[in-house]
Amino acid sequence: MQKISFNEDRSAVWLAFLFIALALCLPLGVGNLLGWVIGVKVWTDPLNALAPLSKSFSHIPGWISLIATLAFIALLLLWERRRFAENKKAFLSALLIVLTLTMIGWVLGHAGIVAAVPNEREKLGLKWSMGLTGEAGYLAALFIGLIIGNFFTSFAKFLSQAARTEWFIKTAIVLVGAGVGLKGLEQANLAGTVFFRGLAAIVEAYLIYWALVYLMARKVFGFSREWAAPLASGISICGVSAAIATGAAIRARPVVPIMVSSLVVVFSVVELLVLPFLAHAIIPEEPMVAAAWMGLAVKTDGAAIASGAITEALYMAQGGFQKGWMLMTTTTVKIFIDLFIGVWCFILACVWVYGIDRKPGEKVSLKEVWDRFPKFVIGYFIAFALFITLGLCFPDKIKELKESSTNLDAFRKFFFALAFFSIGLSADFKRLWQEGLGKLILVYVVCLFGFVIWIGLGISWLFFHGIMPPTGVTP
Amino acid sequence: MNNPQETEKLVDELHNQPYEPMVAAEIWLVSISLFTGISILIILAFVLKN
Repeated sequence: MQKISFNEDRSAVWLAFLFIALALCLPLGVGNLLGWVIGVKVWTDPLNALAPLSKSFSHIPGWISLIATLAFIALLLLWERRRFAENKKAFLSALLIVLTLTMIGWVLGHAGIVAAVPNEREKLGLKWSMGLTGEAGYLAALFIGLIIGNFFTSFAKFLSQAARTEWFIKTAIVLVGAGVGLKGLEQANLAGTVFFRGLAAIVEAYLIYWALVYLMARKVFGFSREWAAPLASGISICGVSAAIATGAAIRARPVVPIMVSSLVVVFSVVELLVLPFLAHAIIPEEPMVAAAWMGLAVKTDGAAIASGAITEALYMAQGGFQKGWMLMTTTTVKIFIDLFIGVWCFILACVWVYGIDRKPGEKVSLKEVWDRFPKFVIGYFIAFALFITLGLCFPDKIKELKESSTNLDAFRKFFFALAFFSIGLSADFKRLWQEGLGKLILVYVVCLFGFVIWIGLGISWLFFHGIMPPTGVTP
Repeated sequence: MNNPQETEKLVDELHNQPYEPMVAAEIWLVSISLFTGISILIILAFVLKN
């Protein structure tokens, strides 16, 4: 009898939909079944780092929420692999260790000195911070994985049975769909010009930046398709999610998009620290152009929104504008770009299955296309469509849907962190960074500073030139 | 677990990527993207300015 192997793609979709079903119990009136999940905040005192995500569970101590979250994820993952793990006890032990170490990395990455962006420093009482945003948690998880993978090899071998990078990545991508769907719906009611600019941002990021970065990576720097596609998505779309989703859609080895993502997180700090001040220096009379530019040029959601906030602070000091307009513009542009990751992955998956992976003269049947097609992309679409449809059909339930989406986002981030930890465990990342990163950095710098930010500035100027935020006291 | 052979292969790849010519599907993807992107932007800008 043929042995059935574990299908990570299908399992990831089921897992993600189980999370989504539980989250949707809130708008359905059953109750907030996931509100107890742990939320990690940027901290200066570790005792204040952890708290349940939902305010309705604020009476529960953070450590209980933490244990409940880890136990819940462990049980779900164990259930999914119950037929495939040779030794269930060993698998569960390894899984619990993987989850705990990843959570430690995730919390450490939220330390104020590492994660706080410049506009948060005052609130946290910090004079200086690295400004990596909470996404530094991914790098911290990667770092812990690296230490174990490089110095405790037999322990790493034991953990490797539970460190399933692709499984974690694909689960997280389906969850991205739910969050993005709802965010898109919220932005659809915005003023016409901002909405219009959002459409232009999508065109810019996907059809112009992506194509140009891909072309540069392939033709000028000689990268293979496996490296060029995640690199193009990481630089042109929205960092971590886009690079990882693209890598999975074209069936790249997981280490490729993870390496690109870690580069994107580090570079977003440079953009965050430079671009708002550059915008203020070169276009002091155009606050909305500057705000839209931040949404287009700064990769990773956290860094882009922080740049929008810094930009707003710089311009408000001079113009007496109402608070919120510039930040709203940056956020809208960024969210509009995020919205289409799934569509783009779908297109790339089709191009790769039909046009690239197919051998010359080979006829690919529809069944083969279905077998080769990454199912998590379909899962992403279903999640995306489900949240948009629910939001449109039940506008009175938007608040509950938003809370459900926030709960799912906590799982999404943790699953991404698990993927980073697993990669750290399996690759000699230190050597890769030392010896292999130069060329990747070169592509990043040339593309970002060569044309991405300048095209972004030009088109932001074209669409926002002369538009001013309302002046006066914010109502 | 850390796999030195795999790491070696990756480092080598990053230094010296294997030559992989662009196939028709890639050229089409890049060309259609750029053409469509620039056309849509021109139309959007035209609509907005009028």
